[in-house]
Amino acid sequence: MIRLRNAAKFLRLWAVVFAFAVLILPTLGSGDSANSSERFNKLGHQIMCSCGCGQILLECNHVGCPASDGMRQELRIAMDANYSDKAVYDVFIQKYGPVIMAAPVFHGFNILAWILPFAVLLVGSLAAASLIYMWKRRSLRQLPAPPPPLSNAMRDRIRQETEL
Amino acid sequence: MILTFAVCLFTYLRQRDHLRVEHRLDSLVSRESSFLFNNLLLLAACFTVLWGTLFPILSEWAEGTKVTVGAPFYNRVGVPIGLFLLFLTGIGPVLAWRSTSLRSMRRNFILPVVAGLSTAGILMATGMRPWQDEATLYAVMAFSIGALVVTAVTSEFLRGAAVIQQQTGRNIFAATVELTRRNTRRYGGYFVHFGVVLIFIGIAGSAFNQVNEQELGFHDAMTIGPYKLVDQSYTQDDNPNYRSEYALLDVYKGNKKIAQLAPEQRFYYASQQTETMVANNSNLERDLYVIYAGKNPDTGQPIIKARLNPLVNWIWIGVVVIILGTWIALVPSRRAANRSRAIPAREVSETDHAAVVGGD
Repeated sequence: MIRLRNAAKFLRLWAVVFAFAVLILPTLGSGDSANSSERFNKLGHQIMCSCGCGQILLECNHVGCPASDGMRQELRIAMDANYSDKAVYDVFIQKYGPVIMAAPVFHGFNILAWILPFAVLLVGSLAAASLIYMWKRRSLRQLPAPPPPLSNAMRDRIRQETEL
Repeated sequence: MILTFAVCLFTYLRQRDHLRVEHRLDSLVSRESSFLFNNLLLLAACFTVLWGTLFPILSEWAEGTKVTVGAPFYNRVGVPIGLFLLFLTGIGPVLAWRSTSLRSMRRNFILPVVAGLSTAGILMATGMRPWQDEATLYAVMAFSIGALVVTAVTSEFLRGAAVIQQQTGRNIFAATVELTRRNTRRYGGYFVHFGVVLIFIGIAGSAFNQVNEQELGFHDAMTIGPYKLVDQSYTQDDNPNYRSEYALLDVYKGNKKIAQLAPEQRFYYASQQTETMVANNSNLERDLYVIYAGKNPDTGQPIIKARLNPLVNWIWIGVVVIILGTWIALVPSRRAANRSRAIPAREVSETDHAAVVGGD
């Protein structure tokens, strides 16, 4: 019983560590890219095309698109001016509005967009784990009581009746 | 939506007594619990899609400005959930029903964990740097967890096959086939797990997608990854349905020509729409996808867009394996098939009757 409890605690701890690592690691080292074309690719995939096609700027294959060439040019100009990633995004947001970003910026109310799915998963997992723990405790409490020890009279009677 | 929710809630409240079960989950570390957490993850994935769909409206209501929730959001939120699912695909079959002891976990998990960590080590040694960007991190995790799952499931096959091999003296392959035939639902399900791993490997390849777009004049060349595309000619064509422009490109890997591709752009007269006909060269390693993206209005030179998408075909192979696993699971198990064979009726003699009922 104690071993199982320890095993469950051990697994729970590692599950939390693993989840934390998975969530945190992508943000580590996520600064400005060094390579120019890689950076252009990375930034361009965070911005939407403003022509209304609903596609990412660098994925826009809308034939005769009136906006994407100009926007790519603006992105190149911002990169050539040595703006940081955040500054580049701010330039686009100022000109086109927050809707130009392909995902909500991690700020203010938009933080909820990123956190809530993981929060739902965490709360659901904790609820399920608590429910299992409660059921297990209840089933242990409901186990039938062990039979009472045999009295000497009963033991003698059993011996008599079973003697060949 | 409110009406649908109200009807579902009302039906649930009326019928919830029928949903009660006698049995309860006995342990957090058990196969039943892994099913439960599997369903929780799928629920979280559904919630992510719902949340991403509704968030622009909520944000406009809360802050007065609309935001876009696009691919970067789903990549960042959905991929970790998918990786957890893949992980459970591997540990679920190795956990025992009702409760798994620490000793059993150590015995069953040691090889899969070693396989997963070794895969991560090999990938990093061959140049993948998961700390550089999240796409590479997720790809390394997908490959490593995939190795863990394949090892766990293969060990389940081999463990059972070894027992049959000992009992019957057959070779390991024949023993595996016999094992599968004796419990098609279980081992067909394991084939489905293999298929899921293959799909994840195919998706993980998208972390290494490359794109290149360039004006290509006559005999000009462009490179993408290890491939060089050399333009041979540009041609126009006209027929009653559409007018088309296409490029003829030779594809070289090193100095060896491996393919000739003809990406095309068509203008359909009836619909007055322009469509691109993609040229695709596909193998197990990658898809080389070439698009005729029109002409530069200033120079008149054609623009060619090339995409290199690694491991895409593994997604389709994974789907085929899943279908195969499903068919295996649907076939009745060998013992069950034998049991259901009809036994011809015969008269029961007095001796037979006595043997069944009991007596002198």
